[in-house]
Amino acid sequence: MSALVLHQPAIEDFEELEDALLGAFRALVAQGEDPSIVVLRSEDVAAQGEPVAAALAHGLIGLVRALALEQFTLNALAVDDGVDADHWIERLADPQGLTGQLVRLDSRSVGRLAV
Amino acid sequence: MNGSTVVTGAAGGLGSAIARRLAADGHRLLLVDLAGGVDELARELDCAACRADITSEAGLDQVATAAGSEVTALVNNAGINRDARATKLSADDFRAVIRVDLVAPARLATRLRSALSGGVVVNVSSRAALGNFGQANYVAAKSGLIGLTRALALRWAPAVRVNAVAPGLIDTPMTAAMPGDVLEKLVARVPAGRIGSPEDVAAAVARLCSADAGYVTGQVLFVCGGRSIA
Repeated sequence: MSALVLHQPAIEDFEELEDALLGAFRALVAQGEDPSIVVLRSEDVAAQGEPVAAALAHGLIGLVRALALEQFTLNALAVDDGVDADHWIERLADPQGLTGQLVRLDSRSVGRLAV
Repeated sequence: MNGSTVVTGAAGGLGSAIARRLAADGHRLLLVDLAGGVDELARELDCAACRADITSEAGLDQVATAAGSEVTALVNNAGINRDARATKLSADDFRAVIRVDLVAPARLATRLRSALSGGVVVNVSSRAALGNFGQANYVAAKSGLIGLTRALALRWAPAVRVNAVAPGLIDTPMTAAMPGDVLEKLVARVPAGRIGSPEDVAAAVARLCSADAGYVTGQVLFVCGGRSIA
């Protein structure tokens, strides 16, 4: 079993959304039965940064949810910049049935709407 | 209302209901669609129409010019779907849905930003943003649209309110084309016990466009008969 760790790509223009989401989709589907972890920037999951980055982060969350319903094993991890997420990535590399979830390792979600 | 209200995808089942409701509420409409039916609807509602492809630069120019310098509301309703299981979904179909359902509304809202001062944007997302089988492209686009809605709401406040509606199972030509037994099963999963009407969605859009929602921004209103919590 080899887990894929896919980091949210940095994009600056709405035109780049197509390529970024298609690239992620292809990589996640290519994993087949092996697990994937999509690592997102908390700021973008909270939609507090650039609109294009929020659109991408939420698009990736949508991919995680949709593919989980098709029996892929994948989860998303939202982390603040600079936070060491290795422990959680390691945990999600062997998710033991957990799929389609967003795990938030951030200080932004408390007191705000869940995604 | 002095400014224009732009409704994209206005010739479709949902778009035409939204247009009719906003016209009844006194909006001065600009109906946008690729399909010729938009001219007929514009005649019926005595408003302006714009045949434009909003995925192109030229189409965005057309809409911006027709909308003028003051836009009261933008309803980003245009959308398509190209469903298939992930392993069968082509790159072309994936791209097409992201382009129409996510990139185009983002670019149109941005293009109209200066005209929208004091105005409202309502993005038509979907309950499917929470996940749907065989719709990875559509789910990604409609979920992305929610992220965009929230980010623009923060970025453009207090000048522009930005919200989204997320319709569930709605009685449109698309659902009418489903086999009867499939539709029956889907309706059975809706706590409200019925399929939604385009007018249900139009009422939600109209409310978010109105002064009654003047303190509402960055929110997603699910119009799905409770399916999002069932």
